[in-house]
Formats: sequence, structure tokens, C-alpha cells
Amino acid sequence: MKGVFQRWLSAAALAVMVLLGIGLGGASENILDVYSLVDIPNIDPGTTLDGIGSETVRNLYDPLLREVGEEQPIPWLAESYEVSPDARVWTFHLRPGVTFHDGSPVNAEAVRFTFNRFLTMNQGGVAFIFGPVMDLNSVQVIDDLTVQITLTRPFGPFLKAIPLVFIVNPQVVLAHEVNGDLGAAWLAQNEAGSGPFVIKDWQPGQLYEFTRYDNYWQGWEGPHLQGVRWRVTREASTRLAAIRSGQADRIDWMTADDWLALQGDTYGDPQNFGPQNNLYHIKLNNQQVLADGVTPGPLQDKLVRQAMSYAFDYEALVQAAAQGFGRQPQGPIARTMPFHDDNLLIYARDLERARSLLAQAGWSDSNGNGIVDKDLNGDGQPEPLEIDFVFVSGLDLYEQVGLIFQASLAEVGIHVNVIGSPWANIVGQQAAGPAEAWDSYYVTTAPEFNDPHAALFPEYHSSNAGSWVYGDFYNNPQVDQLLEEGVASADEARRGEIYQQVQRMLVDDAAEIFALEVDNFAQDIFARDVCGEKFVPGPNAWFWYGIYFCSLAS
Amino acid sequence: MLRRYLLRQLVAMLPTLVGITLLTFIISHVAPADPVRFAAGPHATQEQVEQLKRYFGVDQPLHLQYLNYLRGLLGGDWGRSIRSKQPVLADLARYFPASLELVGAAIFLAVLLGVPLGVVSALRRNSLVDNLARVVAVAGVALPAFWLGLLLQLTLAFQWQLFPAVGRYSPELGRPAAITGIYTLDALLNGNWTAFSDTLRHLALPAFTLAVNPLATITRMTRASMLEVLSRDYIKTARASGLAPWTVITKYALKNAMIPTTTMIGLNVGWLLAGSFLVEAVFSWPGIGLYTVESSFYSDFQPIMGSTLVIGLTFLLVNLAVEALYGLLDPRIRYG
Repeated sequence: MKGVFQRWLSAAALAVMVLLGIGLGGASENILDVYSLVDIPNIDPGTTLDGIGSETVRNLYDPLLREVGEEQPIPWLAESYEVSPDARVWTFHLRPGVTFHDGSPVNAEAVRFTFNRFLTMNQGGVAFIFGPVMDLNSVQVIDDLTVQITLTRPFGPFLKAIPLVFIVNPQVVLAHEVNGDLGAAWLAQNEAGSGPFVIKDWQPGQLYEFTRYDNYWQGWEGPHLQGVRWRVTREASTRLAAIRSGQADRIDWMTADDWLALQGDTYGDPQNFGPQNNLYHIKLNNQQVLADGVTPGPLQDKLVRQAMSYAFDYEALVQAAAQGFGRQPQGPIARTMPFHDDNLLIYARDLERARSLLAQAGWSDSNGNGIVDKDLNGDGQPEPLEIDFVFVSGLDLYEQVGLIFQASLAEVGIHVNVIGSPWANIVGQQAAGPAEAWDSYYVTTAPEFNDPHAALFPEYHSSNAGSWVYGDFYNNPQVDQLLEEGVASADEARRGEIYQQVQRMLVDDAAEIFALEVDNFAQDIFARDVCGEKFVPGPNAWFWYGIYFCSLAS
Repeated sequence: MLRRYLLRQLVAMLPTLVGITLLTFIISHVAPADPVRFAAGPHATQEQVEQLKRYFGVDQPLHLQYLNYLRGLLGGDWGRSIRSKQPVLADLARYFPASLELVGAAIFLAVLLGVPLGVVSALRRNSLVDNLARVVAVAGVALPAFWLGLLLQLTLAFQWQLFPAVGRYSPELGRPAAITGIYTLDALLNGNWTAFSDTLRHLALPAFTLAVNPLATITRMTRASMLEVLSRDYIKTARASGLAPWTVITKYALKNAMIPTTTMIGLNVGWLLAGSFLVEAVFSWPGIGLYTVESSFYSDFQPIMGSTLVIGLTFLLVNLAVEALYGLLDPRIRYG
């Protein structure tokens, strides 16, 4: 008996020794190890615009012009361009000698194929941005290196949006076409680009490896990464431990507390830390109806929405969500956006003002229960001012926002029910229309490109009913008209006037609570040894070509 | 006899499987979610959303969608993920072997440690070993696996760097050429010893974390049934006849005591397959549990239905295997 257990024990000990005996893999020289919360489900440049997918696309592919945070995007695959006086005809001259990863040349035909592919598929991403102003005849090949794009109508933000179009290799895409899908299934997890990096290995849900494309047209002179490893790491504490132990060079989706804890000993280049275009909103259903389905709800009243805007405790949110690394927004677009109106009214917290606005709107606490009320449906019975706030269940921060919302509004006699629901269900209920939609919810928006059209049109133009970012159901024909004019105009001065007017109208209407602007810390935290690339608010994503290890640069 | 019994049981599984598909279909469709709207992005017009719905076949009436789904299942088309556009079957072929590897290793560890611990506890009742085993068992049931996983990861992986913290293999060494998708097995089949030890080291912490709970139940179950069997007359007779104590314990006592433990092991395989997502999350193990949970965040119903079906099927098959094992353990058991 004893002998058997001894044998068993020694076998177990041997197994442990074998396991421990082999050392860890070699040190990762010049490879950026990213420990990310996020998986990369789709990297088809024709259909994806989501954060991580688009970061990957940005590094595997090249656009005609690239957004690098300057006033205008800079020449990239196109070395120059001309535009007709009516801003409808754009002629791009391609850089000669640029090759796709299979060695074939990047030419005008590839540009034509890229546009026509996503316009034909019409499945999200860039198709929804360019679809309204282009058709299948818009792109003409003039010669091998010249391509002409004729828009069906002027498109003001064209130059800002063109960096989102990444040129694909037609031969490679068509070689992987299945049932006429234009390579959609294949390209979701493979690439056909000309960018600085290529895929080395693709293991969905766990590990994505990228390595240099040696023949990249910009060359590899100077300090650059050899490759990038993207490890999907769901657990925040694992990511935190990984960057602390030096195993990770970048982590993401951390809280302000985590950032504070790491401050000083990990974060690399301080210029990476700064404002971004993301904005945090508490959407208010402007077409709210009561349970009977007919009676206009209190949120339809501009005075009530203004009262809420004055009552909300912005400072508490800045502290809770961002440990102070953020601020109350000035209106519906971030301060970093072009055409932001720096003179807009900010609803600074003012409870007296909020109470008087409610009184002006006919709300009073008639039964002394602490909640203001008013007879809305004319049945002689006053309805209490009570609204529902839904947060994405599982996201503590969003719940916290709900509690701050609840506590702030309680001070002026408005009762808020804070309810959790899965995100997909919230999206579904928004799609069902204003009568089915939630009264209020918290949402972050990240405009796809650095132009107010990308922020304002989807959120406040009434044609977007059904979309979750159109959560206010804001319906103002004058704003609709201005937004249409803004996108169709190529006159920058006129566009500036239009967008500033829209901002003023939205703020005056208190279409929603413009809740928070946060600095770019929670998105990405880099190890101290990471240098280079400045954070660009426009694309909200990193171009790995510009990143390098400081210690290897010398 | 056994063969006929197994065949009959296999046929009887069919209604259960159809039931699973129907139930998951109904559950994933009653929620007011709109996965297509979500996948289309915030800029999509209603018209474009409708077009995408046609592409994914979700514009049809529910009963037709269900019938199409069943037809697809039989034809090897398990639908597509709305989020990643990949065929569900291809996704499952990727995630399921990872889960099988993790759960298999966890069960192996639990049996390897749990059964001897249970036997010793029963033989040395109320001894130090027995009391220690009791503490381990209570702790194993009470400790949340993900918490234990985080603790092991912080100390053994990040602090002392004895084990890799996350993933299934070291990218520096590369992963073994795919044969089964179970990396340790693939490395063995390829005769690639470096990859074998590397994948084994990656497996160690998550498998141990996942093993702790079944280890506890297996230890207690083995102990209880051993105690019961050891008090039987035939054991006394065997001992009185002068058989070696080792033979009495392994051949006569343990074999009979293993029946409830075997049942427990079978049930654990099913539970662990579906319930390991927290451990998978901690160790970035791309298993089917995490895949299902994430799909449910997006109401991406084809992957949800596909993985539920695979987990259900595995559960049924493992339990059928357990039933077949009863006969081996106790020849008196007849299948009829």
C-alpha cells in the first residue's frame, strides 16, 4: 500500500518537475505585446468600422490619404489629388511602385474595385458613409495610376472620410470569393492589403500575430516594431498584472482607478494621453409617451429636459467615471472636433434653476411625497415625474452613471428607476420605435472620422430612427435641414456656420444630457518603454508603424 | 445486450436533441434583441438593415427560420455568426477542442488526485489525512474557481513566472500543427516534444483551477462509498481469506465503490463544459463556454444554438459512456 502511494507521489512530482523544467519562451524582442479585452471578429475593410477591427485594418491596409491628426489627412497611397470647383469630382494620383503583400502593384483598378466592392455589398462600415453620395459608376480609371471619383452630390466631409477607405487587392479577394460574396467571409479573418504589417497567425478568441511587410513602400529605416501580438485577455486584473510584470506592452479598457494605480510607473509617452472625440451621453426619449401609448410623456417637454440638464451632477460623474480626467462637455460634440462652438452654453449644475424650470412647466409636489407631479392625461389624477434609466447590465460604470442620475434628479423631485438590460436588448428596443424605447440610457459615441457630420447626423437627424445612437428620437425639421445642408456643402465657412447653429439648437432644446468627455486613458495604457506615435482623436486607433520601443531606438 | 441497449439509448437521444434546439431557438428569439441592427452599425438605414436581415435569413417567419435551421443542421450548415460572419460549425471546430482539452485535463487531475485521496480518507478515517482531505473538499466546493484562478495566476505566473499566465501556447515556439485541435494531443501526434511541454505548461493552471471543484466532490464521494463497501461482509470474507490488503482494496472494494463516483465524473464533464467560462476568461482560454457567453451578449443566436447543441450532445454521450462503464465495474448490472 505504502509503496504504491510512494510510486504515485513520485510520478506526480516528476510530472511537476517536467512542467517546470522547461523555461519560459524566449524574450519577445521588438514585438509589441497587446493584452486586450477585445476580440477581433471582423477585419474586412469593406464592412467593419468598429474600434478594434478598424485598428487592425489601419495597419494591414493603406488608404489613399491617411489621418494623422493634422488639419487635413496627408497623402498616402495617393501622392496628390485635385478637386473640381463644385467639390464633386476628385482626381487621385497614385504613388508608383507600391505593392500589395503578394507583390502585385497597387493601381487605379484596385481603387475602383475597392469602392465598388463595398458599395455592392452595402453591409455596413464605409458603405453607409459613401453609399448616399456614390454609385457603381462613380469611380473611373483614368490610367494605371490615376483614378477619378465623381460624387452624385457634393459631400462636405469627403476628405475627412476618405482615410476610412482601405484599398484591397482585387486578385486576392476574388480568388477567395464564395457564392458571389465578394470574399466577405474570407476577408473577415484574412487580409489582402498593402499596409506595413501582415498577418502571421490568426487564432480567433485567443491570439493574433502580425509581422512586418518587408517591402513596405515607406521602408523600415529608423526605429520600428518587428511585429505585434494581440492577446485576447478578458479579465481586467489579468491585464493589469500583465503590464505590471512587464509581459504586456499595452493594455486596454481599464478604469480610471487602474490608471491612477499605474500612473508614473508604466505609462510611456505622455503625449499619448489627451482628449479624444468620444462623448458620453444620457439619451432622453424626446418622443416619450406614457404607458397608454398616446399621452405625451414629460420628456417631450423642453423645460423638463432643461431642468434635468441643470440638475445633473456632472462633477460626480467626472470623478466616478474618470477620477477627474475628464470634464463636462460643451454641447453635443467633443471640444476636439472641427467647428466646435466654444461659446456654447454649458448647463452648469444649478438646482434652483432646475426647480424653477419644473415649476414653470407646471410640475409641483402636490401630495408632499418628494416627487413632483402633474396631470398629463387630463383624468384629474396627477402623474408623478418618474422615468426609467437603463444601463448595460454587467457594466458597473454604466450602473454608477444611473445611480448618479437618480441621486441628482431626486434633489429636484424627479424619480429615476435604474434598470439593467443586456446591450443587444437595448439596441432591439430602440429599433422598435419611441413608444417601445427606453426613457433614458447612457451611451458612448465615437465618431468614425474627425468631422461633426460623423457625430451629429447619426444622432440627431430624424432619418436615423431605429439606430441606438439616435436614442433621443430628436425630431426637429430645421436641424434635419441644416444637417443635410452641412453634409452636402463643400464650403468650409458655410459648414462651420451650419454646425455651430445646430450645436446651439441642440443645447437650447436640451435634446439630452451631454454628460462627459473623458481623456484617452481608459482606452489604452502603454508600458513606459513604448515610444512614438501620438494619439490621434480622429481615428481613435493606433498606427503601429509609428510605434517603437524607446530602449531599442538608441 | 449492451450494444442493443446503447443503440436504443442513442435513438432516444434524438428527441432530446430536437428539444434542445427548439428550446434554445425560442429562448434566443423571445428577447427583444436585434442582433442584425447591432451588426449593421449606427449608420445603417432601415432599408440597409432589412437587406442584412435577408442576407442572414432572419426576415422570415419564426417557424420557417426554425425549419430552415433544422434542415441546415442535417446538411452540415449550422448557420453563421452575425457578428463575425463565420460559419458556426467552423467556430465550434475551433473552440470545442480547446474546451475538451481543458475539461479533459481537469477531470483527469480530479480523478488522479481525488480517488486516491478518497480511498486514503476512507481507510484512515478521522486521521490527519482524512481531516486534511475534508478541508480540501470544503474549500474546493466553496472557493469560486475564477478567484482561485486569479490567485494562482498572480503568484505562479506573474510573480514567480513558473507558468505562462494566459493562452494555449507560446507564440515564440509556435503552435503544434493542427490535427485534432487539442494542442497537447496534436503535439504528441506530431512527436513535437517542445510544443508538448509548452502546451502542457499552458494547460496546467487553468486545468488545476477547474479541477478543484470536481476534485472535492470526487474525494468525498469516493470516501463515502468506500466506507460503505468496506463494511460489507464480502470484504470481511476476503480479508479473512488472507488476500493481500492491496488486492482487497483495489479489486474488491474500490471497483464497487466507483459506481457513484463514475456517475459524478460523467455529470461533471457536462457541467464543466458549459460552466468553465469564468476560468476560460481568466486564463484567456478560447473555449466553448466563453464563446457561448459572448455570443449571448450580442444575441448572436446561431452560435448560441450551435454551442448549446454541442454541449448537450457531449453531455448525453458522456453519460451514456458512464452507463456502459457500470457494466464493466459491476458485472451484475444487466442492460435491458
